[in-house]
Amino acid sequence: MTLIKQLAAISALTLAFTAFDLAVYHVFTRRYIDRHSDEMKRSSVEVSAYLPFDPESKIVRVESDLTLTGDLPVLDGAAALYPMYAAFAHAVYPPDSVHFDGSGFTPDSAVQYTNTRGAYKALADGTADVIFCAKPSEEQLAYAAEQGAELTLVPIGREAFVFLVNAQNPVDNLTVEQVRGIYSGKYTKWSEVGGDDTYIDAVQRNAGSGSQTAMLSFMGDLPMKRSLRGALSGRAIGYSFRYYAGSLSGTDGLKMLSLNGIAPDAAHIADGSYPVSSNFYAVYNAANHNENIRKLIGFILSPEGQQIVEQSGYVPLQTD
Amino acid sequence: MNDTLFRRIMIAVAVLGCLSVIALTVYTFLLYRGCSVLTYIMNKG
Repeated sequence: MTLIKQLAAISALTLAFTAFDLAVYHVFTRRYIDRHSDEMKRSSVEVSAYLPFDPESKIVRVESDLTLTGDLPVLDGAAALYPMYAAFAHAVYPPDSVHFDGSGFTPDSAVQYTNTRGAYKALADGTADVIFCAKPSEEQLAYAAEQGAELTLVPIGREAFVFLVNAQNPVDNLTVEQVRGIYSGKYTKWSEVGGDDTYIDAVQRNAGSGSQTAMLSFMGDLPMKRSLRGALSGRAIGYSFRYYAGSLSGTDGLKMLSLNGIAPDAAHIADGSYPVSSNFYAVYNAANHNENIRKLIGFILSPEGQQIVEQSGYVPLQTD
Repeated sequence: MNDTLFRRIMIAVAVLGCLSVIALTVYTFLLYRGCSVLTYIMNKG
C-alpha cells in the first residue's frame, strides 16, 4: 500500500470516529445538559431553605392556636409540596420535633422528605403517618393493600396539570383532544396541531411519579405512545404540575401551554375553568387512630391552614 | 511507512476511537439519569 493510501486510511478511520461522536453528542448528549442551572436551582425545592423552626427559613408562617403534643404524626410527601407541609409542621408542631442533620431529616424527625413514591411506600409501611401528594397510582394502591393499609385521601388544595413546550415552539395553545391525540400517537407532527413541520417528541415521566399518575388519569383508556422519529429529531412536549414548572415558565427555554384557550393561572384553577386542575391530598391510613392526625387535618382545612396552601403557591380549596 | 507501523497506527486509532465512544456513552447516560423533563424540553426546541 502506498503512503498516500495509508494516510488516507488513517484519516478516514479518525474522521469516522469523530463524526460518530459528534452525531451522538448532537442527537443525544446535548439535550440532557443542564444549561439552565440557575433557573433550575431556583425552581427546585431546597429542603434546607424551608426548614421548620429555622429563623432563616423561607417557610410560610401563620399564627395558630393549636400545638400538637404527644404522638406526633410523621409527615412526608411530594417534593413540590414539601414547603407547604413543612409550614404545617412549623405552625402546629413543637420546635424540638424536627431534626435536620445538614443533608437530610434524621429518622426520628416528624418531618421527612422522600417524594411521592417514597411517601406512599412509607405510608403503607407505617413509617409515615400523613403524606401530601397527588392521587396514588394503581401500583401504589396495590402496595398499600398488600401491606394492609387503607388509604384515606382528604383534599386540601388544588393544582393545575400543565403541558410544556420549548419557548421557541410557535404553538401556544392546544385542545384537550389534541393533547390526548399527541400522546396516543394520532398526531405525530406539530403541523397537525397548528405548529411547524417538525415531529412531536411526546415525553413521558417515570412510572409512579405524581405527574405520570396524573397523566395516565388524563389519558383515560387511551394508551400512551412515543415516536422514535420524534425522540430523535422532534420538538418536545412534556407535563408537570404548575408549581414545579411555574417558576421556569417564561424564562429562556420553557413555555406553559393554554388548554382549550384557558391559561393555567390561579384564577382559572380556582374557578375550575382550566380543564385539567385537580385536588392534592393529605393521605393517611384509616387504621391509624392517632388523634393528632384528625387535629392536623382539621388545622389544614381551617382558614389558617388554607392560608399556608395559598401562600405556598397553590390554590386553596373553595370554602364558600 | 512499513506495514507493521501502519497496522499499529490503525489499531491505536481504533482503540482511541472506541474509548471515546464508550466515554461519550457513559457521560450521556449519566446526564440522562440526572436530567429533568424541564431541562430536556428547554434544550430541545
